[in-house]
Amino acid sequence: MRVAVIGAGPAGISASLVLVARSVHVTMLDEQQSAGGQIYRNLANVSVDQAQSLGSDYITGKSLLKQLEQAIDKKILTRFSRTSVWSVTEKKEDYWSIDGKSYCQKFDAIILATGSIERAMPIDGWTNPGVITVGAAQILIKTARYSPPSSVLVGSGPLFYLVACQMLEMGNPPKALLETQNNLDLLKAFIQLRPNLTSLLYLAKGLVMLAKLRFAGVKRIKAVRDVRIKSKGNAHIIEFSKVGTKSQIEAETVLLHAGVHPNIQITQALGLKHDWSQENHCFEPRTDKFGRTSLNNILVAGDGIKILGADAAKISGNCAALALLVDNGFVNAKADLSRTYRAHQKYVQIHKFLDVLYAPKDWYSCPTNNIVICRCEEVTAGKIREAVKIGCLGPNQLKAYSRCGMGNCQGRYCGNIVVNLISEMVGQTPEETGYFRIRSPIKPVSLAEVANLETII
Amino acid sequence: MRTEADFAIIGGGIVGLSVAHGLLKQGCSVICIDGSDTDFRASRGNFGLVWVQGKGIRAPFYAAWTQNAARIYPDFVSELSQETGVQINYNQAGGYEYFTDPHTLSQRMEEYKQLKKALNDDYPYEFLSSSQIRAAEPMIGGETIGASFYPYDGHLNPLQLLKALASYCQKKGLSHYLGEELKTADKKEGVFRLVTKKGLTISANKVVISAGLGAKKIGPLFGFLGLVSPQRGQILVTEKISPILNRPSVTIRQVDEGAIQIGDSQEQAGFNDNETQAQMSRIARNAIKVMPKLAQLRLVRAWGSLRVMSPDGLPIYHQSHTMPGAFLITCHSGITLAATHSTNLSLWLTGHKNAPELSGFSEDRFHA
Amino acid sequence: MPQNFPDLARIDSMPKSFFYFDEKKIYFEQDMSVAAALLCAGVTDFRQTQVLHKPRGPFCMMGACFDCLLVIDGMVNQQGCMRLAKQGIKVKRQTSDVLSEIN
Repeated sequence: MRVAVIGAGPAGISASLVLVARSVHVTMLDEQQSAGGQIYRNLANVSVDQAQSLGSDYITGKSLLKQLEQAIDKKILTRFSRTSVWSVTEKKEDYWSIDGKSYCQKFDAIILATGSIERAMPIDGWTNPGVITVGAAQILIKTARYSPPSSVLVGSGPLFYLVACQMLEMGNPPKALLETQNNLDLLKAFIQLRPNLTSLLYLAKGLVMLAKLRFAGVKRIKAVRDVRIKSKGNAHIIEFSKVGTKSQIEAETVLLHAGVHPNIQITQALGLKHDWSQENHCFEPRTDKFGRTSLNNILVAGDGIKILGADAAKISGNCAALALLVDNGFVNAKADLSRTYRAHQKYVQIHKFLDVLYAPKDWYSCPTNNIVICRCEEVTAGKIREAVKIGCLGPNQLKAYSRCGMGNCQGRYCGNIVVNLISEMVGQTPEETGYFRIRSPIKPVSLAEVANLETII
Repeated sequence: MRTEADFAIIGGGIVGLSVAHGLLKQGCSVICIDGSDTDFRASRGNFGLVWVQGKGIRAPFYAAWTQNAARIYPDFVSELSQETGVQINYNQAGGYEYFTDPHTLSQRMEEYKQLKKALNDDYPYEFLSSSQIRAAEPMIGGETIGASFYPYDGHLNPLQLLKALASYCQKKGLSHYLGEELKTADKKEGVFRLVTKKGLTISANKVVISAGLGAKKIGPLFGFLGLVSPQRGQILVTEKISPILNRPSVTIRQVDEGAIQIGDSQEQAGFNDNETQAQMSRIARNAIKVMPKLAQLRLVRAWGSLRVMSPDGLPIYHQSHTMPGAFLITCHSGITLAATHSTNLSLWLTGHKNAPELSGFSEDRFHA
Repeated sequence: MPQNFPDLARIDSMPKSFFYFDEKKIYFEQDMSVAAALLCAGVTDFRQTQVLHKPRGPFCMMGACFDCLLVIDGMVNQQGCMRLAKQGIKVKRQTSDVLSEIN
């Protein structure tokens, strides 16, 4: 059995290791230079010192990467890095591009582990140069040892505080944190929390981070809304209001974060059903509890199904691999699968808590007319509302009328916002609204490559 | 929004809205019942050409109908743009078909010669040699040996055309219902009563079916054969670049916002509008054969769409024999025929004295 | 002189590698994307949008947003965050009419 695993983050690596342990050949396809996905980005190349400053979660990735390297050395796993997968078909044919050439190979099974994307936070000025995501800042820290100076973070979520701490460790703490959640969110989150050990440990880690930030004197302003960024080169003035009072703060870099949601480009292109998650305000691919989709031998693992974090993603990768083994005659994997699944469920409670605490806010989910929603095609909320009035029940008609979603990113950033806008205007649920029709190539590929495709037998 | 009108149009794509446009101008009251966001909708998946050449080679009356449609297009579009403020970007500077095979080229030359004769010399085509087409279009190279040229061919932004028509019709009083699907239809005392699956009830003196592939299911309710079937076409769309193509061809054109659009396929794939890698590769190879420099451009998106084909490829314009007042309108060239559907076809629907002669397009031709 | 390298005190020598951004020399260390190197050097404006001619720069740094597009060694629409910085490459700000550079 030949299996392709797409994505070399915690879920992809874990799934691959489970498969090779049972002597199943794995081809790993990943677009980054080295394995690790985003959470363990560049882990193989950073110094011990630097790894320490990035936190203990980062370091736990080391052992995973080591096992991966060993598998590659033993030649039981093939990894293609810097590889852009641009199409995956129902028949389990993978199309990918590396160094200006495209290849096609048919596999017996595919595990999709393409992780998550940061949620868009469409506020006035979010497209200005010098405004980046908190995830982008983390990538700069991990790959360039660079923490943007005089930064103000806007938003909320676990990654928000993690990166603030990482910047602090680098000796370059944020100038201020403009936090969008308020005390009511905190109360609502605690009311529905049924804590287990995993949740408590997670909360403890969070409290430690907050304590570090407080001890270092990092300014935290909570319950902010109506944030506007006015930029002149690398000088940004961030206007905001808190409890009706307007204020502003200056920054050299603005870091935005409104949570993450599954990257559904491939699952959508496969035509799989997706369900709207009320907790995380996004579409998630429909899978069974182990990651099986409605297509035979095509599974999803990790944050690509549901946002539960890196530790859960590792277990999810194991589940998907074990389920695949069980489905293909490896009967003794069944016991492992049940056990692994139980371990995975530990993470659900804390993420329900986080989803409520850091739920996206109306003031940027349904933005005012002047805000650009589709960054690629420069389509404003006003243009979108105008098109919906003419007659759009869903994103595909909207795309036709406004070009929103037609650009390079193919809806990765505007998708969920568009779903919200249409649902609100038409008065229907996100599920009734539906999503963009996603087509291959899911990443751009040259005509020359498409014309001269090489098929690997 | 009204539930009674002179006309009920089933299907709000380019054909339905063009017809609504013409009917509203004649002072009729019109209701449109339209489907959902994920329906096949050929109106959202076409090449954007307003095209005459290559059509009606074996049916000169269709070539004449199309030729006239192109000639009245500029006024149709400028009025629509003015009324709605929508930029349709219609460009009628002529268009090409490129040839790489001498046999195909000489066959086409003969076909156009015959067609011109049949149309009393009113068919102003030209053929360009290898060097002439390279001079006219610097991107041409490779295996291109020549091109046909027709001066009234052109292209536009078909999505903006659709938006403009919807916007115009609504401004002029169209009641446009979205997300509806027809459940039952009957005619009592000269009035049609339509009920949708969601329970919407519409009454109208006349009904127009312009539901694309939906005509197969809906047509028989009104006594039509509804002989439409899907033919899939696939299209490649590249990244945006600055203007490099002067005129559109039937398979390659540069759209108004800069991307190059390439299409060149006809498949029997049933009700499946998926893009396939096999066709994508084939289309890419053929495009590179005529324009080698396209090879370095990146494909941003590919898609498939279903053409609405009648058995002979010609439009069907037919009034029901068993339920007079019900009309079937279907074609695979809704964009090209939009102006004439509005201006001339709507006269046929209202029984106007200037209505065009359309017997060649009736369903009766399929009974033979 | 590279700006904003917080570890400057710790490294033994100055980064010797550089690439060109328009006429400027941008220094970098290993394992860094072109976009990261430019941001380190204080460059945030990478291109001009085609419709409204607005300035854009990196946003996600992971290949999803397509906002960090640059011309690199004559090739347009290169995602700066997905291309590794290499000695001597010629990077240019992508203006909206630069796309006529196909030859």
